[in-house]
Amino acid sequence: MSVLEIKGLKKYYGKQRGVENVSFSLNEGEIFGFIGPNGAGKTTTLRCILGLIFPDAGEIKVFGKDAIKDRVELAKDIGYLPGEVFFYEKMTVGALLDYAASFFDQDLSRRKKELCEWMELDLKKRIAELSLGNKKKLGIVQGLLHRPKLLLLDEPTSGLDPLMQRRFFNLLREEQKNGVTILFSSHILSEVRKLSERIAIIRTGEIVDIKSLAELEEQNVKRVHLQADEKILIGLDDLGEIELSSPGQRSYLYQGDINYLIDRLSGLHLRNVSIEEPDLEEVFMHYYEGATDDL
Amino acid sequence: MIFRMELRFSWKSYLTWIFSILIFLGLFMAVYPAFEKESETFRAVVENIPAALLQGFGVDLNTIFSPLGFLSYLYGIIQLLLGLSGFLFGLRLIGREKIYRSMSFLFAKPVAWTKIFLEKMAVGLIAVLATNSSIYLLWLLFRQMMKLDGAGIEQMLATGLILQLFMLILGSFFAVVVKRLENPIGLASGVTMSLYIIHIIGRVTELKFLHQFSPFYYVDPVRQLSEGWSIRDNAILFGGALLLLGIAFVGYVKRDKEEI
Repeated sequence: MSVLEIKGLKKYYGKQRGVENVSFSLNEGEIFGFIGPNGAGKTTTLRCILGLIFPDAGEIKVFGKDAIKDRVELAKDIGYLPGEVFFYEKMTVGALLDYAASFFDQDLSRRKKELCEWMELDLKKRIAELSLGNKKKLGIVQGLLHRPKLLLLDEPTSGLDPLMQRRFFNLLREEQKNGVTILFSSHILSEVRKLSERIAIIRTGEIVDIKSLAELEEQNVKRVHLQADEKILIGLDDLGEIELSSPGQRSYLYQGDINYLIDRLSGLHLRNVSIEEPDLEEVFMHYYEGATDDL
Repeated sequence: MIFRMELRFSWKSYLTWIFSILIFLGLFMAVYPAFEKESETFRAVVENIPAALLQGFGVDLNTIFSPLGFLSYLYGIIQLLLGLSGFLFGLRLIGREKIYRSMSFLFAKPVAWTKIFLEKMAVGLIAVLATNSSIYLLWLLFRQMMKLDGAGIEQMLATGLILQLFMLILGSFFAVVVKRLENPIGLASGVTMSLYIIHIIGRVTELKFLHQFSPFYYVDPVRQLSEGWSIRDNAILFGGALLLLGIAFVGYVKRDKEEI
């Protein structure tokens, strides 16, 4: 059963494009990554699903109901973490969570306590005194507080330290085990890879592709930076698209089996090597340059 | 819950406004007996002030030494405070999520936006009623203490209620149409003072048509004293308030909840 189904979503802010012809669906219990550079339309899509902004065209069904018409009813089962978390600064963490809980007809005091312990949040602290990371944690807690069936997370890890990111991912996996469906937007490919089973790639307001994790792994792209004698580097110029070439150093965008790369580099006398995630834009260019040329 | 939370957010501010207005009114009313006693001295001083300036500030030499005349002059200034506070109440209530950029928090909750708007406005209405009731109670106290003739005072005080209500709704209207609300006090002061100055310009110059654009004209206590209480003027202001309320409501419910 599709928990979320979006067909032909279009949203413009005046003449400025938000999203155009966005369509995808989420299956029950899956973690779906929604990836794209800043300004690609991820937040617009999430806010349309929540009914916070009104689409110009298209249809959004959540649990089979219309996202706009049935917004109030659907909101009982949706948890949302915005990309930038802002709350009423003068309130304490506990008071804000009590306020959040008051919108739901359930006793959430135990859940509040558990989540705050998990996220190491001090209930007595004023929101104005919280660091960015702690505000993010508060956003996570208030989004999960009412045990939603669908979680919409917009850039959830920005501001969280690596330890807390790991803890948060574990929390999401726990939620998934309980049947929660998660839509997780990010502009960091590696982050989405860690968690998601399927990934939608959005660029300039349009869905470019939807891939399973396995498909994405096949197109594994890395930026490889090497420093060595020029003679050695010349022999490696077929590794991939060269981004930077100067005497004694090269940067490649490598796509393919990582073991093949390691085999090629082993035994060579390198001065330095780094293998890292390329920028998202670079990945897009790498993935879709050929496709555009074919058109 | 929204109602209770809004009250929790704002009660200190409301009390501060109410006490400030009461202290202002109380201090001036307390000096009235001395003012009345020394009326001839004051008259000599005031007569040296240019007539246009006196007119601008709503000073009528024929009436200002009577209790009602003195109070009407004083109430003109109180109305400015009522207008400013009313606008600020409305702006902060309806625009709170813009001020704190917390739209994603409240509007994503399972609650109808209509309900949010109505509960917030109900808090504003209570603040307006509390302010004006307090002023009325203080007036009753003074009337008792000073044995003043209170004919026409109730009607004058009622205009303050209508004005503050209008400004509450105008503030909520601005909260809906203005995209960013970074400085509510600045916006409230700017709009209220502009409307007040428009009224004064209309009062002292030939540009009488300007009056129509200021709510202060419709409730001007000095004008009421000379021309009598006008149902028409109050009805215009009340009608304007209802129209603005309707527009603000539709805007609040129908506009995108964008985080800017």
